[in-house]
Amino acid sequence: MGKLRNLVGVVALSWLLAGCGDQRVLEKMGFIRTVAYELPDGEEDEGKKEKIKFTISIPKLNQKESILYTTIAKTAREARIDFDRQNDRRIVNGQLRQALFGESLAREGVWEHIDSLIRDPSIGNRVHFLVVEGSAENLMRRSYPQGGTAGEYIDNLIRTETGTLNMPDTNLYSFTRDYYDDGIEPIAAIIRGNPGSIEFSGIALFLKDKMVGKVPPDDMPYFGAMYGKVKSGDLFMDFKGEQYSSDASSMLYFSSTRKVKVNAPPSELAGPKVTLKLSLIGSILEYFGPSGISNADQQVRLESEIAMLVKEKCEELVRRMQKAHADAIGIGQYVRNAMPYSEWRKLDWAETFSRADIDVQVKVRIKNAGKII
Amino acid sequence: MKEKINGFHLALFIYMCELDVTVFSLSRITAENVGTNGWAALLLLSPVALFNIYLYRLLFRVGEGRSAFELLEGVLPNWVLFPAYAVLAFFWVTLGSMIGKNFMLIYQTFAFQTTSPRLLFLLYCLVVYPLLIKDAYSILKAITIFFILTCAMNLLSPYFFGDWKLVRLTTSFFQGGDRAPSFHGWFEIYLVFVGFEVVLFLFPYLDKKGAAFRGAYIGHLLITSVYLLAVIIAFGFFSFQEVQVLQYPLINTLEYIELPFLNRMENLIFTGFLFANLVSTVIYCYAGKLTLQRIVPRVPDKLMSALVVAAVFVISGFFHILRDIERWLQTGLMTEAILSFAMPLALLPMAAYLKRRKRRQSQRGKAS
Repeated sequence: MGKLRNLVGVVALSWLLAGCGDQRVLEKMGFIRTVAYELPDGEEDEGKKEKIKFTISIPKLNQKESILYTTIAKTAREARIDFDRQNDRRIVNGQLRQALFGESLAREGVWEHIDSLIRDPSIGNRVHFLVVEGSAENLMRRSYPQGGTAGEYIDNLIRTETGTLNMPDTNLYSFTRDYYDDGIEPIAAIIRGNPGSIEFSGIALFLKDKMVGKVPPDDMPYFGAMYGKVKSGDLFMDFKGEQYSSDASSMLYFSSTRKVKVNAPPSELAGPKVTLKLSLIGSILEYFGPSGISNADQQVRLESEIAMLVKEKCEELVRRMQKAHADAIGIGQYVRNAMPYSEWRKLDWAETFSRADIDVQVKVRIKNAGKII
Repeated sequence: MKEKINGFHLALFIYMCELDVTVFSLSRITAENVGTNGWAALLLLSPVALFNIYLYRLLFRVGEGRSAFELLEGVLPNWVLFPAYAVLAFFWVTLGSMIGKNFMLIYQTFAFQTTSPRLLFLLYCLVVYPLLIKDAYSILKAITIFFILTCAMNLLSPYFFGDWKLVRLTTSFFQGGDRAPSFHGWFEIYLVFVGFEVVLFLFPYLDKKGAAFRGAYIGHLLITSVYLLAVIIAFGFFSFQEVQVLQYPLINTLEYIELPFLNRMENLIFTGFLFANLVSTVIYCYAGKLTLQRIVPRVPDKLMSALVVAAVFVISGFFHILRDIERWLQTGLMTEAILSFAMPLALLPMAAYLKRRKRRQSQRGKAS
């Protein structure tokens, strides 16, 4: 046993000693929390076109303020060298939490930058990947009544939104995974800076690494239900049209599951036939309408009306995605599994998806209707 | 004379010997070489290794527990054996050194980037030495502790279930690999199992009936299931095409783990793999040391161990970059995999011959 103790001692000592040579003193480091990539202003300047504006934010020790650096460079590393020349501490990537991409850059393609991010071993794959509407630099520079730095604000916003709402958490891991997968296209959450707040303003649809469309914020719950499981979502429904008897209603704490069924794989003449079955269950805590929801019959009718509305919204979203050729909900993964792999590889899925026949079937169940009948 | 190794310890020994740097890239290697659902390849290859272990079991029975050296020296003259011994010893020490150096170079991708790789490797060698001066039984006891540290990592796997999707595994088997299906490709996957052949050097420590061999089978099946788990997690957690481009998919999965008070845990967990590689280095050095001691039995054990460790250090100095070491290590492991089959196949006839000679001698003894 004594010998074993000696061995443990040698192991411990050797690793402790190794630390002496390669020190990382916390107080001497500048930890980047947020990095933003966007196209520089004034694009008429030809020379700048292939260059990108980088902004980094390093929170100060008090966590209330942050140091911001901006430069125009070709790659993030080139920008870093520029920042290093200015900063009094060594800048490191180890605590990077968000990578923000300007919308116009996202539309041009982001892969080279993502590649550098995931290649760097000091950067984790949980770094949030977000698209910014408007200027990312301004969003980071502003101070917000919510307190803290913009980076911290975004972090908290993501945590609450993805935790309680039906907002997919888009990070480097999910983006890279779906970028490489040939049966699904990646997505990213979009944020927008307002004078007093930062808000989620939709979901960016990508085709490979180029942003090609957007899911508006009001449709996010529907997208969430089609994208995968929603654990606890809120759904506000405004029933417009003669087919509905209700006026407006809100379903809270809804959870959803989806099933994808490929009825017929694609052929040369027709796209695949797919059924998307969604099942939603939640509490109705708001109801505006003439009939009320006090008895079972009325609840059943409301269920079918909600189902009709969700179906309508989802089909509209599917059409939007098909128009953009972006299969963000991963129908392709199921089609791939329903046909021989060699045939799948020959297929141009983005194009095939655009002419797929996707039928959305929705089943809604009201779990309860609150404290009054 | 000595305590005998039981099945339990042998199982852990086989587990730890097989586990080395190859596991980091295993998912990618399977995705590249056999394509979709590459995990199934492990199910096909594992029995091959199991059969190889059975050959050692057979050798043990036919050779009546004699060590490989006793068998060889009973049949062949020393002038034939000694050069072969020298080559084998050099090969094993080099293999041990390369496994260690490969681990260090991977480690430096993630941490201690600016520390001298020589210094880091020197520290590694410092840990190899105290293990190497022990006899096999004590090494096995140390391995038990390393096993607990390494095996505990499997408890992290439920963490990935949330983002794991069956649909990403696809319904097709062995399609879409980067390379055309080839013997070389399958062989490359098989290399992950290499390591168990060192059981040959434990023969003197096993009980006469060889009952402990059941442990070897169990150890091998255990590590097979761990490999399966790692590959299946990677195939459903990442997308298939992504697995093909990730250098070390296993490390990328570990990167995803985040606790409320701690993130980027891979740096911490990765260090745990040190033990798995340490064991591989130690056992190959042990094999090399035993072989050298047959040539020069008079050199004191500790001096020999020190010389072997010094050789490990010196050899490691020839490899500076990851690309080189990976290529060389692959060649080394392929040679070892062939040796692993060749050794029992070559020794079996010798064992049978010695057995018959012994029987004849005893009959003659009885007759006279």
